[in-house]
Amino acid sequence: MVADLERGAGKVAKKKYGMVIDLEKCTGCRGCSVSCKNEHEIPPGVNFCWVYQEGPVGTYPKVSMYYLPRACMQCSEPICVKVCPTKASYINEDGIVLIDEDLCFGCQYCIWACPYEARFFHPGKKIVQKCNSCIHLVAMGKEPNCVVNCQGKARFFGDLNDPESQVSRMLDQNTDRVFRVKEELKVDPQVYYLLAKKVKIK
Amino acid sequence: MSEIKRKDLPASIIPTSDGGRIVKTNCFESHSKCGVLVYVDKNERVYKVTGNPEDPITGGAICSKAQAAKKILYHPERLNYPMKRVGEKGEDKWQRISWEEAMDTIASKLLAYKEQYGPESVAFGQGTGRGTNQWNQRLGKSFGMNHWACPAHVCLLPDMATSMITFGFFPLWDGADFRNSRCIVLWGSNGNWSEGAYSNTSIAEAREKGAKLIVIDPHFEHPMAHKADYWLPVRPGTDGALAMSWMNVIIKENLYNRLFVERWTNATHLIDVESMAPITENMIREGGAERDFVVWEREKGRPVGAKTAGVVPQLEGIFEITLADGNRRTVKTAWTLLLERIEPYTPEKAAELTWVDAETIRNAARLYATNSPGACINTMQGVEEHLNCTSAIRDICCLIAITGNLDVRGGNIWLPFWNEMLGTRLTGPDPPKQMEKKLGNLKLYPFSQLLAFWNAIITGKPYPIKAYIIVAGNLLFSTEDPTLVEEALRKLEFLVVMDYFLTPTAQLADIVLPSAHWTERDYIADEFCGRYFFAQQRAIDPLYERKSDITFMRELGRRIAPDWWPWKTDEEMFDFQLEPYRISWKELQDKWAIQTSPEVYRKYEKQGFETPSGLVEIYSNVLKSVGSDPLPSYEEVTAPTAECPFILTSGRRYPNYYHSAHRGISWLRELAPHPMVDINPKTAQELGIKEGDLVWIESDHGKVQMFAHLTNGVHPRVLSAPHGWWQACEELNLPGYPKHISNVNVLVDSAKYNPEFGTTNMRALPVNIYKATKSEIPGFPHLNLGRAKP
Repeated sequence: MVADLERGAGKVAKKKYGMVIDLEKCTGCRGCSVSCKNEHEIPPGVNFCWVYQEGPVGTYPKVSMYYLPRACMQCSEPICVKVCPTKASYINEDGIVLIDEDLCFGCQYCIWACPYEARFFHPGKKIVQKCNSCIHLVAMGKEPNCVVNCQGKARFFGDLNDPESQVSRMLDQNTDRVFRVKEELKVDPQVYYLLAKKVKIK
Repeated sequence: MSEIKRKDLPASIIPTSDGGRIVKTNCFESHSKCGVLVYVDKNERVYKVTGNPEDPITGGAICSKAQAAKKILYHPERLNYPMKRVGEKGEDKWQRISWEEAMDTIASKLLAYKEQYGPESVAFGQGTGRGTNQWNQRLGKSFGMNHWACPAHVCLLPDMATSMITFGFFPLWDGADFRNSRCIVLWGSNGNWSEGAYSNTSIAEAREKGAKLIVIDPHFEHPMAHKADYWLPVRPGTDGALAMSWMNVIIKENLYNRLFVERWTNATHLIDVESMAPITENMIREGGAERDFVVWEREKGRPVGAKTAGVVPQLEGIFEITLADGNRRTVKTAWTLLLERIEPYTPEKAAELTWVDAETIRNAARLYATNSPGACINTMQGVEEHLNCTSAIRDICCLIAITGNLDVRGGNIWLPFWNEMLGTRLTGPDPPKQMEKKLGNLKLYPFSQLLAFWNAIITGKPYPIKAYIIVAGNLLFSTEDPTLVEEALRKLEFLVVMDYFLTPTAQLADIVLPSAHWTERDYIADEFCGRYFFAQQRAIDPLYERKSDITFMRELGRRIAPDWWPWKTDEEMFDFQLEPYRISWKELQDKWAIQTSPEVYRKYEKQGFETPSGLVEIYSNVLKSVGSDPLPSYEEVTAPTAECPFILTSGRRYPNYYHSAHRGISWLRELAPHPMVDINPKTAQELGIKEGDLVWIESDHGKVQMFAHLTNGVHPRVLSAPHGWWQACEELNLPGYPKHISNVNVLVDSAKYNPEFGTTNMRALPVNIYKATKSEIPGFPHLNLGRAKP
């Protein structure tokens, strides 16, 4: 939340920005997908931020489903950074995975490497792009645009290294609901999900 | 902006250091009117729209449609200039004309028709009015006949009118006090997608505080069904049976609010069993009031005027009474009649009718009742677009009443604007002979029935219709039987359409006018704004020669009926609308938002109910007066046949579209690129239909093509299809759907309608579905889409 960003602004301590998405609250409105388009120049047919509908599974009328908003997982051990031959992909000091557009020459290794399908080739610029957690807004003490406009108030952004931040507190308070996508890959994604209350995964 | 101009800005417009500004205004892409901040750069270009955290309802969230504002504002296919038809009707040959010529032509034609054929030869209409309902009606009334040719019969009017005759106000929509509710019932409504931020944020907040949630919808892919405490997948068209069953459970288990029922409803009024008419005071006593009703005095065991001081009436009972003229009558209280009506609708019986299991019906009814007062029901078109909508909505209204949820915190509350919107202060008095001249034979619809209107255009009977002015309406896609609509519009002498795009309806026009986008025009955000009004002000001046719809209506009004339209500017007209709130447009603009109704509940304790009895009408005197059933009931209306074995519920919502708008906007189209009909996998397998297959959906009235989407979310005998597909999206190279090829309304017969409101069967339609062998979609021959992109 904005208060957390303000509180952390003057501090020297190393930050690790991340996101918590509460699936109990996501209503599949896709406002995040378009708010991302509103903020970034993204070509048609490409989304940095999108929402899967998982289900309905089961047999009518005993069915269940949930929405799964997706974007770059901002991994702490990102494969995309490891495979980048030009060091265009890197993690900044706040833990956000970024692409230096001047260094990227569009080889697309990273697109193949990313286990979350979060990277896209920009056909006009001939480079790879993805979610950058709206660093230009975060630098001004604002939240990423998808968080600001989320109608279900399902998305939360903040410093996971700060134990008092809202995101840290949410993770502490909801340990039974926390999960990360493809955790077994050991890439340490910094997007945490809180399971919908009626849904059991696995 | 020059420095001087910048100083004059209202407080709601904030200059930025780079020479641009941030404008507080409201989105228009749904009724929700969410507060937004529009970012304008120094070159007067809108570059971003985001939620306004000061919005008292949404707290600064907005949906995909609002986010796409700049794509709509700057869309290359937007109408930018007035144009007149130069080829044949529908030939798509146009010539640019000036606004002056357009207005002169329109005004002189209308006045000439009036002179020759009378004011009834001209009609005004719209699609959904969001801030314009009052002005569009004023146009008709000021001209001399208010046809109001629009799809109100399938949108809002049944809900609104039925609750008006029961309560005297309309609390079913934004009147559902989500934010403060202990139990939210979404009944045939999907506000989370269609009125996004308004519903989403307030429902989320209530659920955070522990509110229970019940979703009544045939489709599990409703955004809240999977979160709900109970999901009731009702068979389309049986909502009335479900509501009757809830009343059965709630009354039998004594979970109803007896105090409210006795004091604030007409349940105690005596009804003559034979005629089913109410006993009035003049019938039992010489000199008794003709308009006062009669109750049974418990203590003395006699019938007395309901308003007699100190009388404690009997709620339940059958009595023999002697009238003043000596005749004997058997009478029952309205409550006793209600009990008789609900008696058959046990949850077990309702389960047979609704296909929802009895235990779920029972548990959901208990959950609603035990959280009352403070539980709300939000109903919308899912209940409304049925042949039996009058009784279904009446049943739900009675349910709200007997649980005491009316105008209480967290229940269904009174909001001032709904009574004001169609009231005479804004729309003006009815023209002489309005009721005699209105077309069609609908009992409670105050305007012309669309079916009779189209027929009058085609046949000239009962009188000729010569001109039709549509502002923001795509009637070919918003109402049943589009082939009939098209025939009528082609036959019509003079059609004017004002819109963002050259819609299929606009293509048939003689003059088209360019509407300004919401970022380019000033409105008052009034309806569906809960307890607030907002200055829905422009962020930039209109581009090209686009004009505000309100400016057009006002300027046309000044030319055709100057006495009715004294306002020289939109601002003067807004000042007039705002008078009761003691604020001017300038002041509203400065503040951006004002609260129009204080958070005071149970206002009926002071003002009563604006109904014939002054009470909530469990027994409806209005319905009785027009020969309809005055008591809650359920009527079975549609049954599948051998030829049409499935039930189609049309009009499923998308979060990214609004009715027939926005398929041309790439940011929105890519979220739902194709018209998909939802079908249960078991049924699909039996029919050899796979995901993405092109299929025909066929009713006894017509057929359309869509792509199959297999989902476990619908009953094996239910199909769900969207409406509004016509527009292509060039940016994504995705097709349009001309000639109604995917216009679901083709399936709906206009000749079968509800007798009170003319509502057609859009939501429980017997159909067949089968694989198509050839695509009828131009430029889109491939038949298999595979798995749809998320």
